[in-house]
Amino acid sequence: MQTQLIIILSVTVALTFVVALVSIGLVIHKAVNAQEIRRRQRLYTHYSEKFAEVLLVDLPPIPSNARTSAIFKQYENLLVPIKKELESLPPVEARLHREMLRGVLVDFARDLSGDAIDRLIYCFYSLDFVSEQIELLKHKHWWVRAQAARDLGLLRTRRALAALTAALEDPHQDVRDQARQAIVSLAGVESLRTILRLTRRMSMWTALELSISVQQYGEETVPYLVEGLDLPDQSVVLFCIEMLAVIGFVSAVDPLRRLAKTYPSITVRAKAIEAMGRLGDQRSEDLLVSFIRDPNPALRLKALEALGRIGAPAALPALIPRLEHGTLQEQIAAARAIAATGPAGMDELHRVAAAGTKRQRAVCLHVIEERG
Amino acid sequence: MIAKKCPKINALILTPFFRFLIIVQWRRSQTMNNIILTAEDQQHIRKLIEYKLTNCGYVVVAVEDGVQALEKARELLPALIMLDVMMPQMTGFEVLAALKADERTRSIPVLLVTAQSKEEEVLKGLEMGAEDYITKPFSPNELAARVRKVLLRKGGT
Repeated sequence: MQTQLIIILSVTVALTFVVALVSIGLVIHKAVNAQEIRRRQRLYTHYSEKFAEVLLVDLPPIPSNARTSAIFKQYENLLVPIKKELESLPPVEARLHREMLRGVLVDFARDLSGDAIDRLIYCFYSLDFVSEQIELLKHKHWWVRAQAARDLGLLRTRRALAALTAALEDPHQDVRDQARQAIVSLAGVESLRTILRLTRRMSMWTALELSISVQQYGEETVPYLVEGLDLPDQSVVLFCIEMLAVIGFVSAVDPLRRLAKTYPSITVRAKAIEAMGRLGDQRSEDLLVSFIRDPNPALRLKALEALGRIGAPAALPALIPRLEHGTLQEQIAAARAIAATGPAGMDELHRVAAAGTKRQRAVCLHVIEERG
Repeated sequence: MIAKKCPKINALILTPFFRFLIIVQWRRSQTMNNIILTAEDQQHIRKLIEYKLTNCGYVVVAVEDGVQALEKARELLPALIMLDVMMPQMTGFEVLAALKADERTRSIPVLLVTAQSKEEEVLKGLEMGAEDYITKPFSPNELAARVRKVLLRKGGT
């Protein structure tokens, strides 16, 4: 009995001791963490102040015909105290300082433009962050690689272009997306050729991001998008078709015609037909009319919808049979296309509404009401 | 020198009325409010704005959230308030609304700092009574020029 009591007591004491030890450990861990955060915060403040000065201090004017190196020399002089400070630190400490310094530079790069950004880029090069970041593009963790790609883009480091291009084939999508954005910001619209060429199975997110860049450059992107129509990846081809339709450049009609006629995939052909309708160019009419009789229902429907957007009176004879004999969707699309041809088309709709079958009447009346 | 060569100018300067004008102008410049209150949660930008505007000759008071901005605005009645739209505690819009609702701070011009591509933010801010806005990324020189312009429009320094 007594032995049992002793055992229970011993276990209780041991457990209490372990719990107390763990609690103390946790408190110490928390305190160390808090100290580390404070230290990082202090360093961030320190370098924010230093760099605010580096970026804004007035430099003596230099003649306009002076060499670029003269400007760089001025910037370099501003960096001397910071470099000395970094050199005086032990390696572990220096690594932390450099990490905070890089963070400050990247944050400034995100929020500033104008002259300040030139100094910032110089500092990024001079403090050897560019090579470091390029090296990080090969890091084993994808999030480190993605951040390195983003930072290289933010700091307009053209030297990193080759490494970023290689990152377009990274196994992780976030890295590829960041590299893509960085390349666009570094090389502008011309980068679109490389980006499209190296993109595989474009995700919705990637398409969305890339479409922002495409719309930003507008008609300048048309040659690259037309080139993209011949790429092997179907998702890229679909993206190029969509963008050509959004930009609305008529020179895209011929390549789209070719694609609608010859591309092996029905999805791509249907998309090209849809894009032709959105472009609204009269040159597409004959091809769209020929697709009204295509054996594939998806292509027929897209062609009818496209003609509805264009409004082609010449297509009227081909549209009437579709209104009379097509599927319900085709009948509605054909009725809309007929209405879009003008007064002759509206007369035709009224005629069918009066003399057609029950479904034809319903379709025609619906479209007549739609047109008001 | 000019006065020696042009006795008429000399006579003008010496008139009591002209002397009075000079003294009034000097007194005004001594007491003129050139305090700028800037509210920005991002430390690096706060430092940069502080540094830039101090270099331009303003007295800069920098705070890191909306609540502090409102407190300081009521306490200091600065010549201009720069508000970041996205801030913790109170957003720039909330601070702006509170400033415009207060009789003492209503007339203080407000310059909004907003992210690029947020046109609706800009329109909302201007409708709420902000004097001007600047979008990130911005050039520090542009920032200083906008501050100067707003102050000149309001008859400040």
